[in-house]
Amino acid sequence: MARRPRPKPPAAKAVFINCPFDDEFKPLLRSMVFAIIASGYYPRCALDETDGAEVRVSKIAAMIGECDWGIHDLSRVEVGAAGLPRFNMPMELGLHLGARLLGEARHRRKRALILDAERHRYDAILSDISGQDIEAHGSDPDQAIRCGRNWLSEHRSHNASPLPGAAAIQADYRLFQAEVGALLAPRRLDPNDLTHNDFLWAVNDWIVARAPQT
Amino acid sequence: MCVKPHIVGMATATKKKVSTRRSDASKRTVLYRGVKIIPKTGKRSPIAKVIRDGLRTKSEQSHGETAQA
Repeated sequence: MARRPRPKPPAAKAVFINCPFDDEFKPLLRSMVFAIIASGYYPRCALDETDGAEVRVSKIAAMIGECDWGIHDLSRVEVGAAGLPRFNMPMELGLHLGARLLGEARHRRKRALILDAERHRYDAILSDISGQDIEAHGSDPDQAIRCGRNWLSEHRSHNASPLPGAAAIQADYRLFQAEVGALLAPRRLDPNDLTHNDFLWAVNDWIVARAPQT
Repeated sequence: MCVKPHIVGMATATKKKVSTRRSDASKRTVLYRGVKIIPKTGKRSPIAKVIRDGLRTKSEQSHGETAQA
């Protein structure tokens, strides 16, 4: 019997995250994921399909098509150990912008937030993106939360309820890390050891447990 | 043999089953800081279940303490 496909979140609430998936970037990715969920949206990225990084471009394109929102982090396009830059992130940004510019009517409502480590560095490497929403997080998870939350808030429909402030989400994230860390400690596990899917469940369950108190 | 119609009706009427199972809170939309949180779908791993149960226990304990105070 064929497996029933997993229900997908509505495109209007789905945020595609295009960023590196290595351990060095993990604190930034996880802080962004927390901010997205706490803002009432649903994060999606290539790790949804697998915890390895090998996902075909067709799957990435399909995922971009299913998300009205996209966060594209270009902070790691610098030259790597092999002496060559990695182009995956700019290419996925290109897919997103291409869908918006050339796709069907429903793709024209797509929004993109482009993140970099330093302000205006993109001028030197990808000047064609001028005029988009571009922010710098300085490789700081708190700043990544602020960038993601402010961008979602700015483009929210006028009748939607206001989002919690960046400081509140940052404080909640620290509390989440402490409480989940305490639960995992007896098992000699660190929250950083959680797979992407386990992390999503942990954030969701923490919010559900805290919701009656807010 | 004559069977009264109302007796037949009583014998064949199916009783409506009442479910006593509580629905999983994490599968419902919750309000957090005034924002609707979309429930996550899919399967939990054993470690994700441990985290959920730990968070539930902690939440219930803190509610109990609030009620006693």
